[in-house]
Amino acid sequence: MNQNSQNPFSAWMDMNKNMLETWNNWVYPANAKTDASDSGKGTGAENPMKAFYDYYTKGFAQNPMYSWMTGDGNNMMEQMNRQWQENMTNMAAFIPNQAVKDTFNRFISSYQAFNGLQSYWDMFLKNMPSDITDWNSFAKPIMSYYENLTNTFFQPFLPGQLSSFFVAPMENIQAMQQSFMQFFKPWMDDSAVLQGHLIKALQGDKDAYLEFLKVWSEVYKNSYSKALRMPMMGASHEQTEKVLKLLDYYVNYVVSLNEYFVLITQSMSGTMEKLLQNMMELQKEEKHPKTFMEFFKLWSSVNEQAFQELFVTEAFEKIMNETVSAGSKFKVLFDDFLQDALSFLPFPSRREIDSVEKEIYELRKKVKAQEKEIKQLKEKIEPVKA
Amino acid sequence: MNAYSFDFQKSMQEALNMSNKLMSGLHTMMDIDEMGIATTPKELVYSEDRMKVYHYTPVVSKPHSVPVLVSYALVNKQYMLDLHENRSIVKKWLAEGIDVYMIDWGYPTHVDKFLTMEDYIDGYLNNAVDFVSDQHKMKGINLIGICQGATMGVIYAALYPKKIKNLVTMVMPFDFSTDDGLLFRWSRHMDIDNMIASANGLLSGDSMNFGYNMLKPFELSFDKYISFIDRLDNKDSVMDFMRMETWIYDSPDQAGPMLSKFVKDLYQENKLIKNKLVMGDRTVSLKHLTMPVLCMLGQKDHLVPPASTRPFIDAIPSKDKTLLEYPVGHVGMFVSSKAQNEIGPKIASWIKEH
Repeated sequence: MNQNSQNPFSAWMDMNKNMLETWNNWVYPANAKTDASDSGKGTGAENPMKAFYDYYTKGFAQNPMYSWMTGDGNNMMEQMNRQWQENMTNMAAFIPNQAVKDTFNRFISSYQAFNGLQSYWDMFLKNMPSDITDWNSFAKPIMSYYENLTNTFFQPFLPGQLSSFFVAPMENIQAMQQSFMQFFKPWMDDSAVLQGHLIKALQGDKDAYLEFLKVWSEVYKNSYSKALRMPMMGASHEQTEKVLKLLDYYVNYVVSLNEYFVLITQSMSGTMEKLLQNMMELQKEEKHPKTFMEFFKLWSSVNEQAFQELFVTEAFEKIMNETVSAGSKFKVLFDDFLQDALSFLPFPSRREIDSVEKEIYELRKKVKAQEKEIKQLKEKIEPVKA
Repeated sequence: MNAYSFDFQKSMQEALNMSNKLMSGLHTMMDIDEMGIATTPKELVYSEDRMKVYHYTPVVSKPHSVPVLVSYALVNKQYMLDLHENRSIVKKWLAEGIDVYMIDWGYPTHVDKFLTMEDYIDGYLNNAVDFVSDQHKMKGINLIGICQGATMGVIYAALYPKKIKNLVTMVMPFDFSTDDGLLFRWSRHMDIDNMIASANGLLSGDSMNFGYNMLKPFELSFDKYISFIDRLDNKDSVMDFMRMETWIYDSPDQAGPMLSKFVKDLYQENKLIKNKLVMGDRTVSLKHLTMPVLCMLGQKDHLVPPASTRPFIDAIPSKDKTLLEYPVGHVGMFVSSKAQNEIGPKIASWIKEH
């Protein structure tokens, strides 16, 4: 069998065959006479270390399956190791003597810490950069791994009650840290971009302001918006959810409306600037508007043209539809919230009236269908009656 | 002396003239009693919920034997066709001997906001056609559809081909895949369901008007009025202007399900031309449109671009089909001098020939 074959089944069969051959040689009867033709056989009893080494290397290490199990990107060995540790821990539960059980568990915990440190060491050796300039990009992920490791080093050695008092909050702290990082990460990642755009916007650059709004909106959606849309708990969770969602919808609507109006005013301002520049050119040719009415007509036609050009752009279509959609969603939820809030008043709500109107609509249809049926039946009966 | 030569005196004069015109315009407008809209005599002959069918009083002794039923759009009022005695395409048809029935869809209220496209086409339109057919003891009548009313007419004729003898469409949106019109572009990604929900199921005519004005914001919001000030002291001009203004802003509210289906199935998914539009339990198939068809469009129509109407002729199997194009806009198709002198008479003669 070709050792380079990628067929895992064939690789598995080869590995087993090699192992069996090695095993055969290893456990060949120690008292069997050896001669030149039997060289290498029955060496297990004489040299167990060499025998095990042969078993390992011929059975495993030269086999593609071993490479597949331990190679980069595959953590089969690591998984097997972890499973073995878990099995040991589970089996320890059957140790009858409590003191022995506790000690054995400490052995396992120590081994796990040792193993964890070894993984860290492997990672360090594997990724160590060849030159010092790479140090920062290399150091960050492995130090992060090491910090996680140190958090769990001493927990297994804590007394039972203290362990549960300590472990759960430690996990919560990690979860909290992660949550905070994730919540503020979008803002941190884009803070430089936001700052850059805002500075330009404050200096009057409307394109920069549009970009600022777009980035802000995106960052908001990935942070606060998610928080506002979280499910709530408690007796009034529905109302609370509605209020928070309403706030979220309002923010989205205001941002979209902002973008929409900036596009409009940007177009108008830009057009006016061009118009004023053109006026100077037109004056040279004596074609400039000489009265305000003439200027108004020119202003109107130029702006109309500019708006037609703006309206057919994808950016405008997108922001217009987004603004209308955001506004509609906000209005729908606001109406819903208002009806809930005013439900204590002795007035029928839109919901209640809608259900009555729907009933009227359905009844009207039924009545018409029945009238039609009656008319058709009458037409059939009339000749018979006659 | 300033760098830019500006005639201040002329400007001042213009401003004063404008003020004077506004003052006299105020007097003119205070003098208006009746608008004189839709004055052609007619009679209410059928009604169902908000819908009414009017029969115009024939002016010839023997009108054409096959009557015409006009299906106008839902988004505006049908009296555009009879705006004034001097601008009435209905009057032209009557003069040519056409027997005219007109559907008035009415003004939907909250009770009507559940109306679906099936209710309008299988219900109201079908019942109106049946009524007119029964009145004349005919199996097939002539149907003239206008704008959205023409799209509805085409859907109806495809579902009930035996009930329609001849089909006329005017400024009809048919193929919604074109990018030529702003309305078509903007509708493509419109969140129509949320818009309707925000209006409690009945989208107001005012918001529809706002949308239409946005298509040409300067022309329709400022220019139109500033330019007209100069004619405010002319009562005839003012009356014409006021009749148009009355019609433009007399937009009925739109029932949610009908509007939603029209936007989603037609504007967004273009199902009609693909023969994929489903009405109730049937699919609308254009292959049933075998009756004679006259299709008319306005080449300067910014609401229904010609590219939307032209594909209709090739999409139907009718052997007698005609496409006519006129250099007019959407509304000009009915109120321009071309409408009076060419378009109205052409429809009448075509109907009489078929």
